[in-house]
Amino acid sequence: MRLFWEAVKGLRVTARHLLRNLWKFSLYYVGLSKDKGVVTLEYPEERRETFPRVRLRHRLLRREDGRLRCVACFLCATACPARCIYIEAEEDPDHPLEKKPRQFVIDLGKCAYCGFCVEACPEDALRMDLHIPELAEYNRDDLLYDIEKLTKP
Amino acid sequence: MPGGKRVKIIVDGREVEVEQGTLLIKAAEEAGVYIPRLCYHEGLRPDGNCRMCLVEVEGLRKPVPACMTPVRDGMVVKTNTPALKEHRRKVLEFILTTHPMDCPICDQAGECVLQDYYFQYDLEDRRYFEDRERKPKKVHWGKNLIYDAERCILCRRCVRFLDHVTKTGELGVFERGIQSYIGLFDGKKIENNYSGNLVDLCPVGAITDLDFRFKMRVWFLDRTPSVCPLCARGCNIEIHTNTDPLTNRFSSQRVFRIKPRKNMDVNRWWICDEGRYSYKFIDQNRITRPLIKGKEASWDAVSRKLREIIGREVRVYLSAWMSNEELIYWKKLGELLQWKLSLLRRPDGDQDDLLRVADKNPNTTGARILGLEEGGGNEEVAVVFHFPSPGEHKMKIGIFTNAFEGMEDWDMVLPAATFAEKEGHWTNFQGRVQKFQQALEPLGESLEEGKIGEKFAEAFGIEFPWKREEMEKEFLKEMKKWSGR
Repeated sequence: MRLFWEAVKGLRVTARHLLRNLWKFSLYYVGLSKDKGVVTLEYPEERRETFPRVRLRHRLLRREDGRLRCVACFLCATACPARCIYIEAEEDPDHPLEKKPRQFVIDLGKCAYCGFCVEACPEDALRMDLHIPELAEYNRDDLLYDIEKLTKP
Repeated sequence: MPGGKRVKIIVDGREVEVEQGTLLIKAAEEAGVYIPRLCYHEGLRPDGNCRMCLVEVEGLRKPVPACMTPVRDGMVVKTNTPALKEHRRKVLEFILTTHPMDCPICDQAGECVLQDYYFQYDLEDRRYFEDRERKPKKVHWGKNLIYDAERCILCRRCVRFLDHVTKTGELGVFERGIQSYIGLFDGKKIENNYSGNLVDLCPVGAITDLDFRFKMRVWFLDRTPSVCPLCARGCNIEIHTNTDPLTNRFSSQRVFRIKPRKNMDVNRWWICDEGRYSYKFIDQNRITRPLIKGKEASWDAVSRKLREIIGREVRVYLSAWMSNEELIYWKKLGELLQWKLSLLRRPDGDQDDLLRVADKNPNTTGARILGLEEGGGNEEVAVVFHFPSPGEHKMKIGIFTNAFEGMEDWDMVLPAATFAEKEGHWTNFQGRVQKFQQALEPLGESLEEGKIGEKFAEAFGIEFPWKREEMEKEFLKEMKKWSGR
């Protein structure tokens, strides 16, 4: 019997929130109020505004001649607190910069989006997106972003 | 130095007694004061060209280079006055005006003296914004050396090393002033056997190693003290490894380079190129699982198969690549089971008067102490360590680290751990017992030779566990007997 009254109490709270938000949204809908109440966003038509300092997925930049800016110095991998950047360096035989990445992988499944890698990069080769939060994948392995994925616009 | 007279000097308020004629920079080190240096190296003749080591001596009007000044009795030296600090900053600023500052792509970054000193003594922004002098980059000096003249600070350590230590003199300083660079004399290449030391000597990244180039950043490497196995000298080395799957994800390489470790009684500061570049056998072409008649098998199957040799005549060919502990363990095991023992060695090679000796095995002396001799017989069964070269035997059991041709014809091949994957001692040709430490886990299912011995003992049904520390003590007892003789 006690449990029954507890359930009723809970339903009362639910009903209160429902009615309050229904009331608020009705007022908003007919233009009497600016407060929308607690209503789910209609994503993707509607998008929540991101904060101006949010940094999201990584981009590898290219130089004017199409070459990757990255020289495989490992500073991002060293700075990374989640240790999710994996690099393999190789010799670049014809370029004066001598060194380039053969493989450059960021594991976004592990990434903490702290931005230290961008900060550490001496070549401005790595940057992060501002307002594109779509980073979902069906597979964990697809979250390993390689050079191809990181340079795609 | 002549006479061996002791003199007292005071460095930064600390009194120290050194031999007369000692250089000030060394005397200060003994007093516990480190004087920064770029061109000075203990193993080379002092040159005094970098001017980083200037110190003030009471009674002298100008600062003097500590690396060129012998101590005098009662000298009072100051190494850290404001004027000297300012002076060091200026020296560094001058060097850095022409330095390319390409630390991100420079292999030396992280162990570069110039970087360290910049953080310790300078920390000032650049004031010179003219174009840098363009100089030859990526010059191949022969073997594994690559020279970058722009990074070079012209300390001439390399020139002095080749002039005075190897006495081959391939390098010289060319041009003058800001255009000067280190270059090879006409028609010469650096092909002597100690060329790798130039990489260690170079305080900056001007000389880098083609073998190590861009493979790994130095701050990801683990350093394990060890001993070089390639000749009886037993040079003290450091094995630089990285087995972290996060920083070494794409290659199966575990050992990245070998560096010398200072030991004044054995190898001083150097190692030869043979020792430096032959680490590859630790990672490549290894046997990782036991083979029975060329087919992969488990250790259990090996134990079962080993029972077949009970009661047959056995000769064990121990090798001079085994540690003292393993040798004495196998010797005792052989005595328990009445096996005949002999010794296998790598054939002698060439030698020189710097480090390399003709005996190309790390532990011939250790084997001799235990009374092992080369030789053979025609027993039914042979247990062979490391070198596939026994005489005529019906059944051959091999214990090897690396794969070789004709491996399939052996009745049994058991995978052994290399020296980097186990701990132990070797006795070098001088009779020094030197410890090598474990840098890596044994690859695959390979086991150290002592543990393999344990498998043999188990198969024969005797209790004789492999305890390295005990064996070490046993060996030292044997050694005392031997040296008392």
